[in-house]
Amino acid sequence: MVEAARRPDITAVLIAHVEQTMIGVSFRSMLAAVRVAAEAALDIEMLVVLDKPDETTREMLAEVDTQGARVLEVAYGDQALVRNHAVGESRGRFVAFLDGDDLWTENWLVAAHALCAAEPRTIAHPYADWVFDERRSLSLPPDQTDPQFDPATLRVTNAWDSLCLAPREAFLDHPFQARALEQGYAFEDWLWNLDTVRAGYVHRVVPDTIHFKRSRSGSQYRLASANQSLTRPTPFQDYAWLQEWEGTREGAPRTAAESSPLG
Amino acid sequence: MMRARLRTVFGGVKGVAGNAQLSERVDRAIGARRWKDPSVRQVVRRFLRIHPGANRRAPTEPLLPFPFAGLPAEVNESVPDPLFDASFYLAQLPDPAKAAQAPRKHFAEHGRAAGHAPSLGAVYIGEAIRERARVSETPMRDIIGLLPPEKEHLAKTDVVWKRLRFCAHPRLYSAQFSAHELEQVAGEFDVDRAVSHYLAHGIHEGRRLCALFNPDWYLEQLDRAGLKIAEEKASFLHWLAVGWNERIVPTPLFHQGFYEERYPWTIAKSQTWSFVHYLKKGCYHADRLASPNGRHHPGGSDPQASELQAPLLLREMLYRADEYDLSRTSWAEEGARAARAKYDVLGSARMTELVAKAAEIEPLVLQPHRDYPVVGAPPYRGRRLFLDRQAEELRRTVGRVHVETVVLVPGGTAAGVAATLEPLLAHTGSDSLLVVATDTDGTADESGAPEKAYLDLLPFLNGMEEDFRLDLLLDLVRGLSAERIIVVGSELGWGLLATYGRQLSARASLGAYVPSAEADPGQTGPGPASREFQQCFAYLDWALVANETLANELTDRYVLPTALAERLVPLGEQAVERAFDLPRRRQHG
Repeated sequence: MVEAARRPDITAVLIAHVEQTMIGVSFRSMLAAVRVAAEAALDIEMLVVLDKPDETTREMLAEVDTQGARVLEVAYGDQALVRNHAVGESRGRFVAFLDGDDLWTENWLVAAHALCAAEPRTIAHPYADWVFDERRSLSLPPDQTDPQFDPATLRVTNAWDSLCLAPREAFLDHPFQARALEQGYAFEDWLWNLDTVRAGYVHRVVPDTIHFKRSRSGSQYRLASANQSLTRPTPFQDYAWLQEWEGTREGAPRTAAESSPLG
Repeated sequence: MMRARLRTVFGGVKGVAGNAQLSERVDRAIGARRWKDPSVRQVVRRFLRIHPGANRRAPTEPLLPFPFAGLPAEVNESVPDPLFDASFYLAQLPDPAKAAQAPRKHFAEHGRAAGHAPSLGAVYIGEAIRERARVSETPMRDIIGLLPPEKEHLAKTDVVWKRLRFCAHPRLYSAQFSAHELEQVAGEFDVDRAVSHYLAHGIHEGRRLCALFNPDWYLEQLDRAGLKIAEEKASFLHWLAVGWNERIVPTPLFHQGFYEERYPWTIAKSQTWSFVHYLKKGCYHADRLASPNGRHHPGGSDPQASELQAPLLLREMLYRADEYDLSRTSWAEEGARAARAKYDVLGSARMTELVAKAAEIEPLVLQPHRDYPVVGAPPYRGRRLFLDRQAEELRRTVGRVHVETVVLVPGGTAAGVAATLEPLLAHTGSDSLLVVATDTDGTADESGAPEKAYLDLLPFLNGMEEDFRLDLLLDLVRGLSAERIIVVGSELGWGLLATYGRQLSARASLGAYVPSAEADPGQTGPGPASREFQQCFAYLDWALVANETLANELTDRYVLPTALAERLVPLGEQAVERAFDLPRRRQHG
């Protein structure tokens, strides 16, 4: 085990598949964020993980070690398993993921680290998910501490993207579940959010930060949606568990049995 | 045609006044072809626009809210200038020359008693004046005085009152009354009653008539435009008379730039201010987005919305209604404000700088959007916001956290439902079973279910898009950890099995009832649920079929092997027991 004092503050993970030339854009974005973090005296480990890459993408990343990045190649073909592998290889106290066609604002690592370092068991999300390229939209994810946010609704709608910064143990204790499209299960990031909320982590948004997410046809999310996939079963989907869970939370909403004509 | 309408309309006037002489004069006017007089035709057209059913009314049914007999002196003796329009009045007379010298005097002495209207504006607000007169000695002044002083002349025209009428949203207005108060005013308002009550009482009590008018937002926008308002309680009339012409959008629920860029052809065609287009049409159409923050309603259509003047976004405005002062704001409006504030942060100097730096790496992030980007800002705004809320409302309403068996029925008196439920209930008992009606209105009795084991899902599904309806039903059956899910005629239930049967069959035993064609006299060929059966049989542990013949037909049609053919159980003695005893086809996860 790496001694805590010698561990990097953050492991920044870039996951590549077949992005080809676009991977250069994402790596450059990571470098910009690492530079700003270094200026803030943060020690950053850069990890580039290629999962079943094509030759061009591999070529594109051939010299990233000269920029201080460590390169791994795996053959999972599954986003969840690649991330789990990357966490296992990481040394940082916190881990931040970047997908191979996306960008961060350059302040992401510094600002997200500041939030998570100040409050234990915090998971940081950007203020905005800025979708560009084929489809364009903006999503401003909720902050779990917002009094209007009801975590019970997480069972119906996912609230956060998996491109977050979180304590390494959050990923180790709650590994992403592999997707099983033939059984109708996907959305591993959604399930991870449910698992971490159940475990008491608090998902926060970091002011003045953006993730730029490239929208492309054939993305994993679109494939899963077209397949009528669901998250794997989780206690969150069980009224009985929810009722008990709400009862244990301070200031939780009224229980389901209240004011029920059937109860 | 016009002659017939004239005769009917003026005949209606005669009925009101009960004046035989007037009737004769009307007949003479029509006989003298005065119906060709453009001013008369104009009056009639206007009357018919306001009262589209006027020419179909019985002669004794009041057409207009005149005369003002019995009202306070203010009305009887001197209709104030703002409400008297000489040309309009004269146009109603068979012989206007007789009154042309002193039309107001003529109205006071003759016209009022004859049932003529002093102006078109008076036609619109006559009923409100009468209602106001019950509580005030100065009803006319009370209402007209609420217009900005420089706009009082509009009282006699239809400009303001016509706008007010199509901006009236009776459901929102009714929602501001307690049940007891509604009882005292003869129940929920319709458009006509809401308008009259609002002018007579509501406006003086600070109530809100229009869902797309937010008084605080309007005052903020007025301030930004450098305009002042004297009487804040009359801000809605101020907007109708002044703000409208200045094109001030009085609600955070509508974004003019977004709407105009998204629907340019519609706006161009209507040749009207885009916000008015939304007020008149867009707010009743499910596919219209009002702002970058979303459509503010659950996405389903409501064919009656336009007729009832019930904008689709009222569903969201009335969410958590007891937590908001609906006369000023609502969940929807506060949510839109919060979402806008979050969105505006992206325009800060810091964010602009960060985006510019990212664009140095990837210029595509600055690629211009076709129109304003659609913004999701939960928990205030988002496409699935309504689904989230309905799911939670449903969970709290159901109250139960577990049932062994969920039976999905269409609701109402659908054929075969009661006959199938009977053996199911006999076998499971009502304590461990929940009958959920998914498609149409109905009662527990009609479905043959005990009241305590019956859930009408319609109130939660109404207005929702199809995929959200499915998601809500999925949440219910998963939430209850049902061990058996049985579809008995429910269209949504079949949809659930077809879409999520793969995953549900891993956790619960799925069953269905398949009726025969003979059960439906209008049906020929395969049974009514044959398509659904074909889609879903792969996930079913068993199917109760109407009879042995149908079981054989299905077995032959799909060349079912014995192990699967045995899963088609004809209804009859011990059918449910046999079906329930069959081993699960698949169980995993």
